[in-house]
Amino acid sequence: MSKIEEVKALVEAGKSKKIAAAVQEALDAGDKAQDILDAMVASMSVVGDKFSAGEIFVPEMLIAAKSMSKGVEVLKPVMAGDTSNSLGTCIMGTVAGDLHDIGKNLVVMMLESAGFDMVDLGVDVAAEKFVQAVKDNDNVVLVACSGLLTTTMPALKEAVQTVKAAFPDMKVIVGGAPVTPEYAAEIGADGYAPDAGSAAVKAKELVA
Amino acid sequence: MEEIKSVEMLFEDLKNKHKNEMDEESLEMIIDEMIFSLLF
Amino acid sequence: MDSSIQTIYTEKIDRFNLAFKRDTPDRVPILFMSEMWPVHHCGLSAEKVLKNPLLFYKAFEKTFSEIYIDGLYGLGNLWIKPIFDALNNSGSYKLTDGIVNYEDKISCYMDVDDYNSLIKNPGHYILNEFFPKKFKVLESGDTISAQALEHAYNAFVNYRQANLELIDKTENVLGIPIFARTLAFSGPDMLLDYFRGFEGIITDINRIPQLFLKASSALNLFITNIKMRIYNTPEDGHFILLPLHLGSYLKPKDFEKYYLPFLNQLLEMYTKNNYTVCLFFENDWTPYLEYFDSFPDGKILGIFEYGDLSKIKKKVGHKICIIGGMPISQLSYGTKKECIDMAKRIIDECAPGGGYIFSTDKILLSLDDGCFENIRAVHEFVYDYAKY
Repeated sequence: MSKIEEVKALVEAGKSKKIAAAVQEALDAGDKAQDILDAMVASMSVVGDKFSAGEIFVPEMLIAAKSMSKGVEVLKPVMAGDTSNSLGTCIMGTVAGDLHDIGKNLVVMMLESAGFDMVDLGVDVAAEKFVQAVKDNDNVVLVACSGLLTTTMPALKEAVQTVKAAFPDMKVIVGGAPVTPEYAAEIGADGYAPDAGSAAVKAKELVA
Repeated sequence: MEEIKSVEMLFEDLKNKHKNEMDEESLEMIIDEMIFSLLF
Repeated sequence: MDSSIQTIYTEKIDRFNLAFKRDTPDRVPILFMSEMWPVHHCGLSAEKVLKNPLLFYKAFEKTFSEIYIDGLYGLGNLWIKPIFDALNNSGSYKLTDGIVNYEDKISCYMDVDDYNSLIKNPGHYILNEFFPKKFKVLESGDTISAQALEHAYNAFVNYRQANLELIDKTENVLGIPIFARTLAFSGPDMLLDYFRGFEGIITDINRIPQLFLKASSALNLFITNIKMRIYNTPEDGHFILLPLHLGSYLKPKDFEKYYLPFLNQLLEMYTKNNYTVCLFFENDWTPYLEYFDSFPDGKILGIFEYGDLSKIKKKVGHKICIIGGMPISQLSYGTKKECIDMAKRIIDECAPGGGYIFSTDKILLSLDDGCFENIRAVHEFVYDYAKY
């Protein structure tokens, strides 16, 4: 198995303790940092698909994403400043009135693993804060809003519409247990995903 | 100097303070329920 | 209790208790699962009723004179804010429309190094190590800490009193039973929700599984002992509500090892002591239904949020009484006819043979979770149609 294949396998299996050494070995063996990163992104895409298909469960996905981020830490100094392959910046948060963050945190990890630069605004995020974050950050291509309570669905709508009013071309993706594709369309979101695995697929589609 | 008490001791003081308001079993029950609700 | 109300109350509670035993009552009981829905339906706000519990009762009185129900599942987490305010804890929770919700990442104050202490003595750990981390005001152990605890105690006593009065009036004046007498958790769910958080617990299961298992076991016993002391009349026709959280995130192999033994242990302890246990299955439990065969015999109920209820009943109806079925999305967006057609289908599929209670698939939190006319029509239909 080539070093790069080994890195891929370790990400998929979520071996976070071994990944840093494997990435370093791949670099030492002459593999390009970008190729190693691409390999890890590809692994995470497989992980996301397996999760969406019900073949693996949340913990396996979470551990794989954590392993990848350990690998990325090794690549960072080598790739410093090179943003050529980033998919752009994504602003993410749980909407006003809602503190649920388990799902949001998973989506942040999966989008990061897919190649987005993530800005996590946390929970209970007012609509205006999403807009401000788009202004404050470079190369924002996507805003992702999450909500878990039916009670906070109006806040989700407000977030989407406030962002769209300020930046009509900005892509907005939404999710959370009570959200349906129909509701997402009704409130003017560009995309919806039922889980963190498919969120990464949908997000890439939206900014392609 | 003021004595530094553990939370367990603070709860004991609380029980002593309110022991005349109800029977011991009811007070214990309320304190148990309160401890449980504070875990939330 | 007025004798006519007594008759109504007894009729309702008996109806449920036959279903709890997976027997066949006179007709399918209708359980209402809501938090602030009745309050908003009556044009009141969460803030108002939390300040004045009598208004909460008034909302029940009006709502259930318009909509027929046989019982309420519980009251939800009400009036808890003043207790936390007294201890200056404002970071981890928020009240949204009267519903307490928590941020997972910052709600968990237990470090991974704390496992041994928790395992050794959960009660001691919670009081003396966990609470001072969660509530900074208790850390100093001085007069200020004592005063804060005293305020929290007074707030708790007020909260408890208001809860008891609301339950008492609803049961004894309206004749409507409120079933959840107490809320309990399994050890693994407590570790997830209160102590370690989601990422923490997933990492722990992976890295230090033995400590996770020991801590789950210690908490299982600790909490069950407390719960049996708090709720000590198991044969009063009510139940212990047990929301299940971590299980549905685990792959079946891990579920078998890290969750099922603790769930089974709780069910055994409670059913052996004649308690009725209502499991609230958060998320989709379809992948785990085959494990229900290991549940002990007894009065075990299950509220299902997701999955095909008729298939669920076929698969596990011999072990537990099934609750749920009516999609709140249909009640919000469907026409009256669509809702009644759906209710008919659910009754036709789930009611035969007994052991079934009609309810929504999820708790009605806000007013938008169900259109009044649809709920009223559906309950009227079930009342007339679902007779055995």
